[in-house]
Parts: sequence; C-alpha cells; structure tokens
Amino acid sequence: MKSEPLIEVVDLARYYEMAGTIIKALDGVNLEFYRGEYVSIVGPSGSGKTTLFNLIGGLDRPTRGKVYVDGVDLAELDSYELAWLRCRKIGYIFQNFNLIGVLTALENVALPTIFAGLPWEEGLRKAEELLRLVGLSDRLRHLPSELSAGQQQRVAIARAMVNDPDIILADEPTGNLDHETGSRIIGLLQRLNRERGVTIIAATHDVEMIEGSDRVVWLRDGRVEKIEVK
Amino acid sequence: MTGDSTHFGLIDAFRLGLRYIRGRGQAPVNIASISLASAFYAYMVLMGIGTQTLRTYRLWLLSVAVVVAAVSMATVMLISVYERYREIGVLKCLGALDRHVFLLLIVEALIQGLIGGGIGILLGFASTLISNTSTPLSGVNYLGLSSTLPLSTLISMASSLYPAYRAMRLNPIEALRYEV
Ligand SMILES: Nc1ncnc2c1ncn2[C@@H]1O[C@H](COP(=O)(O)OP(=O)(O)OP(=O)(O)O)[C@@H](O)[C@H]1O
Ligand SMILES: [Mg+2]
Repeated sequence: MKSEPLIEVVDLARYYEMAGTIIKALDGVNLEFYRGEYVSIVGPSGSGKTTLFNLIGGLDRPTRGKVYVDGVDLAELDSYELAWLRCRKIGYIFQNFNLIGVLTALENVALPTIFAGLPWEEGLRKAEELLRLVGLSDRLRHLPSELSAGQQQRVAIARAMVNDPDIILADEPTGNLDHETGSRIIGLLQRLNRERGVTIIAATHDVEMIEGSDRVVWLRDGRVEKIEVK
Repeated sequence: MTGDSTHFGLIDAFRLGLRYIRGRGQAPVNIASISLASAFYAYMVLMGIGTQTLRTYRLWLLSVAVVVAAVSMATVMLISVYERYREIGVLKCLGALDRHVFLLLIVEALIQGLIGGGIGILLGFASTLISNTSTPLSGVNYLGLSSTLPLSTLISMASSLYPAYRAMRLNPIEALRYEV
C-alpha cells in the first residue's frame, strides 16, 4: 500500500505578519498522506490545523515549502487549475456545515457538480443517490434551516462526495454536534473511507474520531509534535 | 493537473440567482425601487414629454428617480453581498472562480431589473389610465414603452457592478473564518 503518497507536504511554512510581529501558523511541516488513509490531525487551538487545510486545498499559498497532490506541485498551478483541484479532487467538510441557505438539501449536494461541468439533471440524480447513502432520502426538498445539525452535516458530507474526490478535508466535523450525533457522523465518514476508498484527513478534538483513524498527527505551534500509527 | 478549469455558465447563474432572489428578503426592495423609476419613465413615454416648461421639470424628476433607484439598488446589493460573505467563500471553496461569482451577482441584478421594469410598465400604464381616460389603446407607443426594460436592467446591472466586484474579490479563507 505504501506507494506514492497522494499528498506530500514538504517543509511547509505559513507566516502571518500582524502589527510588526510574525506569527508562525505553520513552521516546517513534513507529512505524507496515502490513498485510502484515514488520518486525524490533532492539536490545540491555534496550532495550525486550518492553515494546513487551506494550503492543501490550494486556498492559500505557503510562505515556504511545498504541497504535492498526486505528484503535482500546487505552486505551479494557476487559480483556474486550483479551482479545478478544489472542485474535483478535494471535498470539504466544515465545523459549521456551511450549506447554502436558499438551496434545498438536494440542490446543495448537486451544487459542486455545476462547477464540475455536469448537466444539472445529472447532478441532481447523483445528489439524490448520495443523500440516500447518508440516510436523508426523505429530506431532499428541505432547506438547511429545516434540518437538524446532524442532518445538515450529513448533507455537507454528501456535498463533499458528489464529485467523487480522492480526498476529504474535514475541519472539526463534529465540533458543533452533540456526542451521539457526532458519533453517527464519525461512523459515516469511516464507512465512506472503507467502502469508497476516499482519503479522509480530519482535524478534530474528538476522542472517538481519533480512535478510529489509521494515523494521528499531533500539531503544536505550527510543527508536527508526533505521529502515532494506530 | 489537466489544464482544465471549472464551469459556471449563464444558465447556472440564472438558476442559482433565482434561488437567491426567491429566498432572500432584499429582492422586493430592489424591485420596488427599480419599478418606481421605470413607472415614471413609462408614464412619460405614454403621456408624451409635454410642453417646454413641463419637459424640463419632468426630465429632472426622472433623473432624480433613476439616481435614487440606482443608489438604493447599489446599497442593498452591497448589504446582500456582506450577508452572504461566508456563502460566497463556500462557493469559491467548491470551485467557483472570481468571474463566476461576478456573473452570479450581475445575473441577479438582471433578473431584478427585468421584473422591476415589467412592474414599472404596468404601473406607468395604470397611472396614464387614471390621469387620462381618453387615451385610446391603439395610440399607445408600444415601442417606446418597451424601452423601459433595457433602461431598468441597465440601471440595475450598472449599480450592481461595484457590489459584484466586491463579492468577486472576497478572500475565501477570510470569509470562512468569519463567524456568524
Ligand atoms: N489571517 C490571519 N492573520 C493572522 N494570523 C492568523 C491568520 N490566520 C491564522 N492566523 C494564526 O495562525 C495560527 C494558526 O491558526 P489556525 O486557524 O490554523 O489554527 P487551528 O489549529 O485551526 O485552531 P482551531 O482549533 O482554533 O481551529 C493562529 O495563531 C492564528 O491566530
Ligand atoms: Mg481551525
């Protein structure tokens, strides 16, 4: 299994300058993520988890170092190619779900297929299939405001999956959920990882989530403190 | 990776724009201001521009109505962009390019301009009927009347250029950080 890494992070650094002082959000991180892995990123608030995700997703450019996705150096991609990467290769899941308020569950899930160039009807069909997979086939026409937090996060997971990405970046996906609901979301992510082979990288404080992962990366002050193989 | 990029065409912008117009509170405000200016224009087309003194007076009133509509539209669209700050960030995260976001906002303006113009024509027509019952329907300047629509969409789209530009330039990382 240990062949070419799907994502390779080399000496990655991201500094912010704030009122004359330099904040080292990430400072020389080296990591490899392999296809089909389930990796948890753990670290105290401010340790650089979100910053790392922004760099892997090509939303941000590093101060120093490289990110390779499928062997491609992200620094060599222009903004069009980076948008394509975010659309087709990577799915995002956020702590606060970030669904589009005026779209139904079905339309929310289908939205990324527009950017992928799929005909709308085809996108809706795929969306329906994924909503069934996450157990929401009876909530297709509901708006996010009409769904519970756990249901919203399941819609968000379906949306992240709709363009068949290789990678899912989940930034504290259970952070806004109660324990039991969070548990179900974790189970769902693990199932997607096992059954569909999607690589999951999740920033989390959730013990249950950490327990279920293949590896745990501990970040502190923008550096990798340790890597634990489960 | 492939040199390919993401897609978001005019039809997609209409589809999403219509959802936003339907689902958010600001559209009626925009449509009202555009339709008032359009009604005034339509009324003048129907009634004729009038004698010398009346003409200056009416043209002046029309310009005021247009400016008020444009300023109001720009303000409300800007508010709408800020309220959607996070959602626009999400769109960019899912693959939207800057120009896709711009297109979405301009298409929203176009739709509201068309609806406002349409209502304006009806309002203008109604007010001529009230003030001048003798106008025969056959004498109506339909061509002049239909010029209300290009005017209303132009006002609407022009005043949304700046809000659309702001939306386009928004940084998705900051937008996603933005806690509600
Ligand atoms: N735009 C910015 N300007 C200045 N400093 C920033 C900016 N973004 C992040 N930082 C700083 O970088 C560091 C890492 O932030 P990051 O958001 O990556 O942490 P995190 O591990 O995701 O924390 P949390 O668990 O609270 O989400 C923090 O010290 C933060 O204050
Ligand atoms: Mg974070």
